[in-house]
Amino acid sequence: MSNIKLFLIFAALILLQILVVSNIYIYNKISPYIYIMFIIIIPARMNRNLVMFLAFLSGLIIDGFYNTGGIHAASSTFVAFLRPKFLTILESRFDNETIEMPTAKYVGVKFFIYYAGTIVLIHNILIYSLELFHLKSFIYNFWLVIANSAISLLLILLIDYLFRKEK
Amino acid sequence: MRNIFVFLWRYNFFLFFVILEIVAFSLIVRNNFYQKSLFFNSSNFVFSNILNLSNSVTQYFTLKSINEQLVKENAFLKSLHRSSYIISVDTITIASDSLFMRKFSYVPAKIVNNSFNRVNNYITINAGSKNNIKSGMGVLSPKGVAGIVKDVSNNFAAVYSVLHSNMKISGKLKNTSIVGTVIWNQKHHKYASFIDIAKYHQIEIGDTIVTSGFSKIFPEGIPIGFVSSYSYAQTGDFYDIKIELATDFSNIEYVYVVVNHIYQEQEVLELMLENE
Repeated sequence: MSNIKLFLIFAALILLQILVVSNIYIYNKISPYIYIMFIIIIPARMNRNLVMFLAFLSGLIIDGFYNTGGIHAASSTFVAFLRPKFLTILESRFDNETIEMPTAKYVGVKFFIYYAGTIVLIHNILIYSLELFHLKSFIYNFWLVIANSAISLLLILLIDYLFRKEK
Repeated sequence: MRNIFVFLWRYNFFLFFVILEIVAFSLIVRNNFYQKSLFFNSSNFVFSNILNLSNSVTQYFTLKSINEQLVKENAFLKSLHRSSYIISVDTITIASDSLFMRKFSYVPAKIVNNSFNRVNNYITINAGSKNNIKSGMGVLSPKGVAGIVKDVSNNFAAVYSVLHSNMKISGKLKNTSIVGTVIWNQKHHKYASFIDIAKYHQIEIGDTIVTSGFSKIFPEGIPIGFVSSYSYAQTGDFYDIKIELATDFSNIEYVYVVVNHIYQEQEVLELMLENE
């Protein structure tokens, strides 16, 4: 995986998020966040400080477009901070072999859903709780977070599937 | 000294994480203050130009309904024009040269980015400080109130949509002096709440809520929404009124920015009150 290819994926995911996915309106409340996919599929051996910086950068760009200040930057940085721990858990399922790229192609769809699903869920919980500081309508937002994470994950799986065929 | 470096090196990942989070949270806090310019917002040069480019493609999808809106608005404005009136009483004449002073004028702008499904929604428009737009000005859609300008760059402006948790618009029931506040309840982009209306007032479903004219931002009598349902608790003193917003935020393409020519005068006077 060359650096240029990684940069292209990074740029493509952010443009996809801003130009296409931000126009998806399901039941008027769902707004999926797929740019976090970059943090999910970036090679496992990549320098973790660099990964975290890239997560921060992508969040900051999304914040710029969505006028959210630093909510996405904070959430994706946090997810990138937890990522090495998830990878360790994932690797323990494969006899501690180093996973080259944690995509569905390398780890299988089942484990990819567990791994990506956890990251997407935490990311969404953070975004929603930072946006609504109060817990006034907690139940309502709880289902919103679940639904939003599910749709985000679905889109990520779809993108992963589409690009898997090319390789 | 050496130990400090060893410590820093050992926990570099965690320290880097803490630094990045501090930066992110300071950005969140700064963004929450009203009218504070930030580099990272959608009126920024790079962001707004990308959004503008994207909009130049997507605008074709809504062309038909937008045309209908504009034609309707034109028809309404034509009905207000002088040629639509005849003089019915010829004993009184009004000399209208210096009697009237212009208070509001409007700057048209096109929406390049708009959201309505998030917790706090913003609109980005393609008019900025070049068009004399300043932070804090009101924004109207063809059908009613749309928002308030937040940040301004040379050619673009980021606008707080009515669908934002910080937005509070002073409104009143049309043709009465019953004044309350319109806030968004964050549930649906078509509905908002009208609060602070005491229980002894008469309210009916379908009543229009218009801007009160108390603020310096909007002219008086611009529609905000229509009462869609109301209820009240036995113990409370106020109605719980749900209104349908006049502006359909899922379908707007053009807006007008309200320029108040005597804003300064009112502002200075009101600041004097606050300082007392």
